[in-house]
Amino acid sequence: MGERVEPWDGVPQRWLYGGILLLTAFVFGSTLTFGFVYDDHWTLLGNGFLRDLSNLPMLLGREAAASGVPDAFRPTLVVFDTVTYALLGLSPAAHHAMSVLLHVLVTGLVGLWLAREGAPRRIVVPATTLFGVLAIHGEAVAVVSYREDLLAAALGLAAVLSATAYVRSSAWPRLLAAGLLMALACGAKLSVAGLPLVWLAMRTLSPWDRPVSRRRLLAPTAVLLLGVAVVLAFRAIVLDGLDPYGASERVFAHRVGLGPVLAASLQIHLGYLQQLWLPRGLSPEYVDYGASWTDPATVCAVLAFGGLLLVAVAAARGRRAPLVAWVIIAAFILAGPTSNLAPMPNMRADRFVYLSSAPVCVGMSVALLRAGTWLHGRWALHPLAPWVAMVVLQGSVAQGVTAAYRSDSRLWQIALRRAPHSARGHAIVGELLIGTLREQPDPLDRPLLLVRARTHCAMAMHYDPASPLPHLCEARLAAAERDWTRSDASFERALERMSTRPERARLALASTALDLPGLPYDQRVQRAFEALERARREAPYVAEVFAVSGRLRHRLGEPDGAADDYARASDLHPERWDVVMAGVELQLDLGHTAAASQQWNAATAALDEAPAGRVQALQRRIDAARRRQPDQP
Amino acid sequence: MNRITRKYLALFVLFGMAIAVGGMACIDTTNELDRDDETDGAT
Repeated sequence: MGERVEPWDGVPQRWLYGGILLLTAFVFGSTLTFGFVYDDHWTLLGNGFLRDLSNLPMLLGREAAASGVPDAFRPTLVVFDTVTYALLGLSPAAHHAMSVLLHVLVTGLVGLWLAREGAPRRIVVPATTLFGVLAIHGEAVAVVSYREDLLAAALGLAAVLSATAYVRSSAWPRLLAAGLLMALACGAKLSVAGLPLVWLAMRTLSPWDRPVSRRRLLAPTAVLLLGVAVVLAFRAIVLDGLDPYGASERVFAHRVGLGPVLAASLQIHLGYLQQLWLPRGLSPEYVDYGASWTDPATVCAVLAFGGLLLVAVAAARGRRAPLVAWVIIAAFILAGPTSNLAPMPNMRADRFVYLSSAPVCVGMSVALLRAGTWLHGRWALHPLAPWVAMVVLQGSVAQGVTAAYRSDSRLWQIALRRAPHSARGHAIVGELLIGTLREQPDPLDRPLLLVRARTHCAMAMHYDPASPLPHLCEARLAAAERDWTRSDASFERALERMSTRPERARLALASTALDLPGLPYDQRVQRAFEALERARREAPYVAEVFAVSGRLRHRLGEPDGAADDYARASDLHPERWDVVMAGVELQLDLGHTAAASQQWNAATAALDEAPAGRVQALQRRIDAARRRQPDQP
Repeated sequence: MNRITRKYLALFVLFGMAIAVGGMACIDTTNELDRDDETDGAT
């Protein structure tokens, strides 16, 4: 590139990053109109633990994990979620804005780290821009609950920046900050656990800066690794082991063994590499599978990654090509935590590549600029043309990919098109259709909706009968068809297969138990309350547990218990309008018009989200009660 | 803001415009999927 003037030469620092960060925000800005999808429902919306800041000290012991609090083994994330709930409530736009801001922050930190390591602008600007608009980041940015990856990356990059600052200044507060930030990063998600080694590789290979003595690297490396070790020790104490998934059948390696999963994982990582360069085939859903080591695809992956490792070793020897060596080594290390060596409930997801794409972006940028220079020599193309084309391609596909995450129904329809053999996809689409049935559609649509739901549930069962989801789908379908015996049996089968969140099946069992034919009434009641009691013990922070309990007690004529349960459900999820309305109805049933009016007036914010028809119906009931009892306010 | 900075920022504005056009093409494909679903439902 020599003496040629490039667009970023002479640009003040703040504008240099300002342009990149504004473009990053623009690419993912459309997510601000999206709703909550995927895991957001149980990790954020239904997670009552986040509603009270005074719960946070529980994260330091085993209590939160034992109470089924989602991600209790990731304390930084839970603290972040609790604080953001306190600040933003459940506004989807605000939470999506937070995700975009986090991604912008991570993008800025990637650029800053490269610059602090001495990278010239002709690498910092292209690599940071590519990282900001990379299409494979669509899932991590567009799904609110996947901000765990963004948060961990931001804290991890801040930690390595502090470590670099310590190497330059030897100021011990920076060393302390490096360790603390790394522990916080791993507390958000352990996928950043490889960053200390990536930092060490950067400092040892020093692609741009003068290498420093190994003795000066010792303290920051040890402190960064200590940050990782502290979180591993914490996790071992809280979970009685490092693996949060135990013997769960959700982990595919537990079904078929580690060998086939690792062979498939190599194929998957070759797929990631392709998707980083050419963003095709990105999907909200991938089906877990095992592969043979003699599969041509596995052999290709082994050869490709073995070849890359050999290149890295050759490039690192005598620092012949330190940048090439660092890019390959860093990408390998960062891919480690999600490489399926450790048990994972999903073998593949676009979000798994979030941080490991940073070194790949550096490599891609260098390769694209080299290609540009080569093309410039042969045809009169601008040397930046390949990089410009890649930025536009990645950004455009990123906007298209994120559109899939606008709503649950859209997401799962697209997921099924991309992964038509997904049992999870079919089961969830089936449940979404059954949910539509509950909203009392046009009676003419009902048979068609039932047929579609039945088909998806049957396909889910065909693809993966060992998973609880097809059985849940079948059970809810049977409940919609008022076949309580079949529903009960299916919920029992789902429960047998559930290793996490068993309250889903227990609550359904409690709800349907009262209608079970062939059982004496007192046994049905006992069965319902037994299921409820277990759900209360297993998930004391899930609002749905108390909402279902309140409805049952309300139905069985236990008003005091029902009122307490509704109140607890409202505490855990104040935005649930159905619980507010149930509480008001309970007071009206008891003839307490004043209490009903008071609850009604206090809950106007929650009722904004309720269907207008139901709000008007209840309002008419309150008005009628007031007319009958004019002495009450 | 000097001329060099304006030129640099213009590059990013052009990126934004090109991505917006490219993004619309990609999102249109997704919308088409949704329309296909509606057709499936109606038949």
